[in-house]
Amino acid sequence: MIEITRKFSGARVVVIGDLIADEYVYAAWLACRERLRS
Amino acid sequence: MSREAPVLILEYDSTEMVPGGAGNAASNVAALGGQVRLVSLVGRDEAGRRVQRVLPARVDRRGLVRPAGFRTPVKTRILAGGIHSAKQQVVRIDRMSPRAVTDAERVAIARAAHAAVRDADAVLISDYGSGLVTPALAKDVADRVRRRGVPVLVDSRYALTRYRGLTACAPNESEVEQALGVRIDDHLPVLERAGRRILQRTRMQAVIVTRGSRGMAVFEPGRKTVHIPIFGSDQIADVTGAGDTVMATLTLALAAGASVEDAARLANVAGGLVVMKRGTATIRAAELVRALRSV
Repeated sequence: MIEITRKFSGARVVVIGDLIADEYVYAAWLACRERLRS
Repeated sequence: MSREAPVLILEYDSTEMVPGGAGNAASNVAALGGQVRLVSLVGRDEAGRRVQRVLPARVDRRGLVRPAGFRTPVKTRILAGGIHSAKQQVVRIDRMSPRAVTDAERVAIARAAHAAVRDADAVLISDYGSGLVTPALAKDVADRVRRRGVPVLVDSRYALTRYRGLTACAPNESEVEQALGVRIDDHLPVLERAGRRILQRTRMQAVIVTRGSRGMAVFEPGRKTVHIPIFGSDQIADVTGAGDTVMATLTLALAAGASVEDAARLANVAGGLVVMKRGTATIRAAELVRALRSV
């Protein structure tokens, strides 16, 4: 199977479908910040 | 707790955007080292500009159609946690297009698809249910590449059995349960019947059912079902986008000339690796090779 992965670079794939913007908003529990400050 | 309402207050840290849906599948093909062209709609809005900026440079954008008035779908996930601990998803807010995909947009996508598949070694159709991708488009594309024996795979959340006569699909167990109205759990005879029914209904050359911690089952007409155990530990960090990694690996492996069973085994390893990463992640070919050597 490793042999197959060597052929990946020459393989041409077309992907057709919905492009979605995946947004990740990171936040901290406020209690953690306050504990850290005190 | 907030004094305004019984809700927690979070302190904002940072925002990150990654390509989702077909964009994630394309990113996965690119990360694995394949040449990939993405055919899709993208809005002329801020989200559209941002998502194009974060698409890997290796993704060919010539198939992107930018119609006026189309709004790029956005899924915003809020993740919260301690300063030094893993964050957990608290809520997801979806901003989908307020209107249906128009006929003119469908025609433009079909044209872009026709141009793109002319020299393709494999095609992946990723249907997230917006109405952009339809069984008619899939058939149209499959008819154009059939003479060259190019595999066409489909990933459809809600309309799996409406896609017929393609090369393969890889639904997860719950999608199979939904499509057939059955409950599989640990019952192998139920899984066997379900896999064979999906094969019959879709008239595909292969159906690969992904089973989470139970691995995969590969169904091909006239062949005994192959059960592949889960790769790696069952220490799952995040399953977001894992289906896209599995589909991308399957498609790229078939494009590279693998048999369905070998392609499924590779996809199983890639899927096992990606769920150990947080967020919508990808796997590089070198990681895949390292994992294969460790087996």
